Amino acid sequence: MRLRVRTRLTLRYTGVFVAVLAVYVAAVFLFQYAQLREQIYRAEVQETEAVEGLLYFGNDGQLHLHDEYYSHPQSRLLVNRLLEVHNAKGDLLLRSQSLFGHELGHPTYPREGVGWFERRDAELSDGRKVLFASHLHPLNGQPILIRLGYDLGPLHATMLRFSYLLLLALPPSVLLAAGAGYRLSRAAFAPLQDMAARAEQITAENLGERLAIPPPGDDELGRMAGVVNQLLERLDQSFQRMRRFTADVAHELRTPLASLRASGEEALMVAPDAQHADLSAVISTMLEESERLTQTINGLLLLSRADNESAPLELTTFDLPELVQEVALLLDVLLEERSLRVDIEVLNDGSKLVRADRMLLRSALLNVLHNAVKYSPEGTRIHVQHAHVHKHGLPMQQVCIEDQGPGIAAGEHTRIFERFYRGTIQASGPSIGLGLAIAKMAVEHSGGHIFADETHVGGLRCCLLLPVAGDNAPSMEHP
Amino acid sequence: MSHDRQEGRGAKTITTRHILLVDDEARLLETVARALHPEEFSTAIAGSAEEAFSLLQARPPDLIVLDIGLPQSSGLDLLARLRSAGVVTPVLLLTAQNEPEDRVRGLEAGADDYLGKPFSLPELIARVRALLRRAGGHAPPQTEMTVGDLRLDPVQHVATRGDIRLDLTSREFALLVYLAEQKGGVVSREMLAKNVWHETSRFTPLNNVIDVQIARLRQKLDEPFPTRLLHTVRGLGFRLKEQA
Repeated sequence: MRLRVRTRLTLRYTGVFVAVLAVYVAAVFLFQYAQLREQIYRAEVQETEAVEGLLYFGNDGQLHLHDEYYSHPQSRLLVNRLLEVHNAKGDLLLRSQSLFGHELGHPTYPREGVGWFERRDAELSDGRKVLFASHLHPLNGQPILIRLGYDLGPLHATMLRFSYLLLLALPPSVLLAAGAGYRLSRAAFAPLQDMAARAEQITAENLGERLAIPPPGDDELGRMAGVVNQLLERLDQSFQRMRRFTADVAHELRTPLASLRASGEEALMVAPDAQHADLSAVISTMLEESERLTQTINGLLLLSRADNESAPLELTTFDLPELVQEVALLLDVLLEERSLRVDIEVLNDGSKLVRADRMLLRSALLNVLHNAVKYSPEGTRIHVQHAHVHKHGLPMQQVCIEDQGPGIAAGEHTRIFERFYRGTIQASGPSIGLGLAIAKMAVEHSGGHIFADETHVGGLRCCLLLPVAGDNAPSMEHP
Repeated sequence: MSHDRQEGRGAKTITTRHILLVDDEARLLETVARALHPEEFSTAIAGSAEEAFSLLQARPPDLIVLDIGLPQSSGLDLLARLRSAGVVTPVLLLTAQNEPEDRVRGLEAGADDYLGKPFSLPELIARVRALLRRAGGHAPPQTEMTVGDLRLDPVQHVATRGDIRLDLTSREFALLVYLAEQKGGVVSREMLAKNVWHETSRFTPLNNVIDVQIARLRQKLDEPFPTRLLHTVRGLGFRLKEQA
């Protein structure tokens, strides 16, 4: 299942928020780190200058550092200062105790400290990370290279704590932002929800109605409502055109047919004598064909009206088996003629009342039963079965009409309800090929369902499902 | 064989009835006018509502056959104008829009009967006669009818040919009575569907049923007897008549 737009929007918004926040956190972190390193370097430069004054060559020719330096620690960091002094040849003259004998960086770089101060990063052999300043200083006429550095360990520890702090603040702020975003999008979508609810109520019958344009009207939502309204307008117009077209077709086709038929009939009425027997036969054939054409046009117009407008239904409550009986009785002579037997089976007790348009449904049943009669071999039986079923959780009354005819080929079970469909096995006779399409329309307009049973082997088994009348069935009336 | 003369014979005793036909299809009008035999009817034809109105004043008709779909002002408008002017002449509406709503609108506007196009000529003639009978106020009391040696008693529900009583189902009897009522006129399948089967919907496959029912009726009515009464008129329908 796809997420709702509102959820998707909130997720996306939150994602962007997290990314922006991450970039911000990284920038703050890096800036702070660079600042602190700069401070350390400055302190190193200052101290190097202080150290310059404290260095002296002792009587033993060794380089020393005045001890009083230690008694004036300016800060904790200063105590941790790492000091190394080399002569111009690169020999080590002095190394502070805090280095524990480790070398501070590379043995000396070419021209190191020749300029002003130089800064370098180094890693001691014990793993400590160090930032040190190098400076060349003349002492007693000979140049010495002073290297003074600080262990970066405490800085890194501070930065780690700082980053924890930053990251800890992230989840609550993201949650907060997501919540706010979700609420905000609800407010933003409320007018859309209203529009959707309104649009849902617009059907073929009230196509003249329009969506309300949410204030201020010239924003995106207003435009959207406007566009939907324009669409409805075009739809409305095309429906009206379609209706007019149907009426025009009815007129334009039936009027010449009326002339055709009247002329043919008049000819037969005035001159049916033996002399013109051939002519009469020709005219009769033409009349029969015009009758077929009329039937087809009537059927098409009925279907087209049903397509274009919800034809006014007359929903009534009636007994379905009774209607089936009535229809079977109407076809009684055909049944007798072909020695067909209709046996009726009722699977469950209880009410067989359905709610539908009785006239339309009678047409539907007549078409289905007539079809069964047409394809039944002489002397066979037509099985009618009534059952109570549930479809999509709704109680339905089902009637299945089953013949022992040739049946239909696989894959034709939905196609036989199409207009003018010609089956491969039940090659249609003189019937107009609209009977089952009309039956389908009639059943569906009453809120029912019609289908050919694919699981059935042998003849055709056609089932009609109709909404049960009663308290638990949705009612069209309001008190 | 030429039945038009024989059909007109009964009407000769009464005066010719004048019928105004209004439709914008000239060809259809002429055909219908020819089919309404001069011995029984005289006809005037009009192609528009205006023409019809002036013809109405020239000679008031006994019946108007009026098409709804006229070019300028519709047939329904003309009908409303007539009825508001106090004209009570029976009106048979013709229309190509055979929807139930149109039928209701037509009858509400004051029409006496309604026929959808394309109609069958025998039905149009039968309805014209029925409307004129109704307007004349002498609906014939159908106590007993005879066609040749066939006698029908609708009250007792008995049909006999000569001395032999026919064993008919109620549907067969109703069919026979309806055919007899047409006095030798041709009856189309549509008329039978409407009047004997009382089928209002035009989309029910009844033609097979009617043909089979007619065949079964013929077996009982004609086969045991030397003369045939029930005839099939190909292309038109059926007729109950003693042949000359």
